[in-house]
Amino acid sequence: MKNKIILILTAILAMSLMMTGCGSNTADSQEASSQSAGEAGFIFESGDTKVVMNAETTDILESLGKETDYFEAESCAFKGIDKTYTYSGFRLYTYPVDEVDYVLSVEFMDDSVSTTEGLSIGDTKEKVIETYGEDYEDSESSIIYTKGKSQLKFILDSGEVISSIEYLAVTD
Amino acid sequence: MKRKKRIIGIVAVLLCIASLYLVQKLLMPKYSADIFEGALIEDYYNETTEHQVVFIGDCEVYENFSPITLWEEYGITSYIRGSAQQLIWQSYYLMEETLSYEKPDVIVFNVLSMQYGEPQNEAYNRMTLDGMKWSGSKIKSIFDSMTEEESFVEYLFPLFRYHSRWSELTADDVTYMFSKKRMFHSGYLMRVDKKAAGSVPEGKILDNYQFDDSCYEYLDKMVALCEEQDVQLVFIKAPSLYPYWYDEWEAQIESYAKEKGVPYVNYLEEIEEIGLDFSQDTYDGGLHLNLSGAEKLTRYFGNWLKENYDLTDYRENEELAKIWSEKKDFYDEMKEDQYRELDEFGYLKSYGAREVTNED
Amino acid sequence: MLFTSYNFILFLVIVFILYYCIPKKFRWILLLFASYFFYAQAGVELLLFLLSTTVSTYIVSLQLLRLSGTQKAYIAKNKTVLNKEAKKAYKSKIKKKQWKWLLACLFFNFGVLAIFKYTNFTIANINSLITAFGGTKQLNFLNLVLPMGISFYMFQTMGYLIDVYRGTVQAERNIGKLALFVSFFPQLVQGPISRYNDLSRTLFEKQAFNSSNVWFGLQRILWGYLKKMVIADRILPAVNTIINAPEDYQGAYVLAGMIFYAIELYADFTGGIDIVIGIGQIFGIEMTENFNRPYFSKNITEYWRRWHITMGTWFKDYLFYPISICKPMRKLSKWSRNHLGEAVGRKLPVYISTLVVWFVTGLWHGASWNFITWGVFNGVIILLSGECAPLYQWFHKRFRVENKIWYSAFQILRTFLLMSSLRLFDCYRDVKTAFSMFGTLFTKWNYEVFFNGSMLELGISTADYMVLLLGVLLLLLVSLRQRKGSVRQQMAEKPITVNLLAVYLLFMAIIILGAYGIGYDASQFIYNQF
Repeated sequence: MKNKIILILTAILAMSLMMTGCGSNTADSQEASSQSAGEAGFIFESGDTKVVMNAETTDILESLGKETDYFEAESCAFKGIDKTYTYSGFRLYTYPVDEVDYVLSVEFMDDSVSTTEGLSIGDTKEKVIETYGEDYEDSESSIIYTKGKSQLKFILDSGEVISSIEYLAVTD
Repeated sequence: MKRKKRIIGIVAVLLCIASLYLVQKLLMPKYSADIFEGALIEDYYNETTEHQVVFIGDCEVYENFSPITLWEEYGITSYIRGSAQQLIWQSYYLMEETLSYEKPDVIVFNVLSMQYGEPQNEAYNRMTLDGMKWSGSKIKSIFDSMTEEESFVEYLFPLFRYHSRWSELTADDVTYMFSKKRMFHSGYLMRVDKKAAGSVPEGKILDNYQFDDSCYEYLDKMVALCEEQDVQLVFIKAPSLYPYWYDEWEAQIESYAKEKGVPYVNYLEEIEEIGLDFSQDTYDGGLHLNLSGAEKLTRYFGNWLKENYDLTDYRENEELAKIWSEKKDFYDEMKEDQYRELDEFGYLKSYGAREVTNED
Repeated sequence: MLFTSYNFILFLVIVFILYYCIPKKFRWILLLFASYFFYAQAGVELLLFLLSTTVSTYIVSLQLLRLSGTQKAYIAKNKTVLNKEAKKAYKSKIKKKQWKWLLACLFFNFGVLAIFKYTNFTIANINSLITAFGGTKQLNFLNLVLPMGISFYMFQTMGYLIDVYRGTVQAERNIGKLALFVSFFPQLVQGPISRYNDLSRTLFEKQAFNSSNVWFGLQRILWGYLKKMVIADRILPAVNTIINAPEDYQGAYVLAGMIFYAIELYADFTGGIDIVIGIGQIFGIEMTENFNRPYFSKNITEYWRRWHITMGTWFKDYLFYPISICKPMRKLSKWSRNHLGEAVGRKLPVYISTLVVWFVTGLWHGASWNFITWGVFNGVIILLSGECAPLYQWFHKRFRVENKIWYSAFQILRTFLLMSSLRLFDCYRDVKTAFSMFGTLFTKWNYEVFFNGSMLELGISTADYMVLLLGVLLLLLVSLRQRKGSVRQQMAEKPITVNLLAVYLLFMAIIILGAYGIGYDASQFIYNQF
């Protein structure tokens, strides 16, 4: 009888130790989740603003300041409105889900803006591949890199010179 | 005893089937509150007479042409078989189906949908396809349109698609169970409100401007079908400022139309001649024309039709005059009602418009 | 083919019609073709797995039969010459040969299962060990597709083979019939794990059309679909929201997740089995029950006699008993009786066997430490509660609460919460997370989320909750009714219009309220890729 009681108490102690021992693991999991956020995809940077694909637009728009031009298009038959914000050198497109806008894409308008890695309109195909590597999908006149839920698309004039750069969100 | 059981069994099965039919009718969307476009296709079957001109295409036809104006000024009977984001193969099959009901003199097709070579969106598919009566054309159109998540069974028995609406039913679902609310004017969806067009961005640079082969195939099919049925096919590009119509696309259509001997008019190039004023004639900033814009375009187009084709002026025809007079009355009624709502609410509350807020 | 796909329904209807149209003696053959067709939908190349198990089992079972025959003939022939010892020695020689054949087949088949199911798990562990010892080399994972239902049909077939070895089952000479036993399509995906003697009674019988079987079977199928589509699939989004983001959903959410998952798993698994057994019934085939109102269990041991019954009995008959009476175990038992005392010595084989069985049970559920931990915990708690038996006895002598309703309710609730807690290992991505989430039940005091509308942000709406409430009430009602006997039988005694109405309502509820179609995620039985 005595042995049994000792056995039971030991088991309870062991189980409770195991449970408490895991309190410290929440710190690890937080680190892990912030690490994975860094792998979110291609991010366009304009000054201090980080434009992440598929992100909610409210903060981003505030940070970017007043746009030089604004256009909205209500899609055929639906209450969703696709919005286009033009800034100096680039355009931001959004899409709505349940009345909240998210970043759909960023399109470069001229060579005054560049990607985080330094590519702009007018650069060569070689420079693109040098900077971003060989893991791309290509067609006759474009190269597309995919990272996380975003894509970086380079359209090439006669296959050699960048005529357009676009950050795209990969939506479900 | 066994016989009695068998009879009860058969009656039970029949009742079950009948109830399934009724439940399906109840649960299917009625498009009576804000997204009226969904009811467009079905509206065609309410027509009692044939038409000289049939328009086929997406919102650039059903928002930009007024068959009532075409009748009033030229005595030409017409119908717009349009639907939201109608894809080219859907247009082709609608054309095929229409020709099984009547033989118009002219069929007008808006070429914007050449840019879509793949199935796009389940909701738009539904709005174009559900309203069609069952026919070979409908079946072919369904198979060509289905996105990956869709299945034919759900078109055959829409109950499987719409059953989830059970928790969203409204009084309208009962009222319009067997016939939809009357909202259109020979397929035209009226909007009298105004929203001036601002600057419309040019389109993004594309990596490929070539229209899909499959789209050309359907264009070929349209040409062949109209030739075979002795119907005059006309291609148009409506004067909508957005979505952007690329020069490269324009070039392709021009060359195709020339090659096939099909008349093609790009109304974006004739905005001045039409007399369109994009501060007055559009209700959504240049994407679609409002009533005044549609009437202007129709007047202009009607004139072109008269000059190029021998279309009878039926205004003296008693039977048709009566029918179209009634259509005109309904048209005027709605116009009045829309203006009244604009006065009262500042926006077209019951006609699908958004409430206008001052944040822009 | 998922049970909840249009294709499957069409398939079932066609097979059903054909079954009763063709001559009776060909009916089992039709089922064989149907089963192989069904399996091929998952991939034609996967048929190789079914075939390899069937053929290897067939060959070996015939070998076992042959050896038994040889034994019988030899003994009969030399009846007068052989004495007892000689007979015994000869029998044991034959047995050894049979054992070798059995072992080879078990090794081959379980080997296939082990390779496809556990290779990547093993690699992951090796990689962890390498890292733990400071190494940098990491082995690559293999791209292996787990053949559908392998855990179920493999165990069922090996059970058959062991029964042949033991002499409790007569080896099946017809390879087609054996093939059907292995591949019978309703039970392929999630059981029940049948015994040959039980299933073969009706599987190969020349079935006549029996309207009562068909009517009852249909009702059972509809009932299963109701559970699966109206209840399980409806509550699944909420479960997923909670367990996929443990950082955001703690404390009260974990409790909600536990209860929701308990409902979801019950409805999904028992619903699936209802469909399986119902399908068997419409073909006139009787299958073993797999559940017996398990949530009414008053303790964990009882729970495991009422939940996934065929798995429990399989492990008991083919793993637990063999281990507890095998030679090494008996030796160990003797040694411990001598060195650790009589009491411990007697218990040791039971304890070791129990823990081994639960370790394997956990492993069978999935190739991850989550499941193994879950299994071992179940085993430990069962043993503990056995150890506590004298304590309970004393308690019940002192406080006469044994058969009081409120005490029974307490026992049932306690067991329900215990099993739901254990299932947390099922839910979260690793053991650590499961433990820490359980901990938050007591450390994170956010129970206001039950009242402030947060429950409506888990992916299910108010209307959904209403349906779930009604659904669970219905389940409860039917379960309570079932204690008096078969509910369908009770229904059959009511007027035919009542029966028809009930079935009609069941059918309409599935079609209208089922959580299927665009807007609901494509649903899978949890045990599908098993």
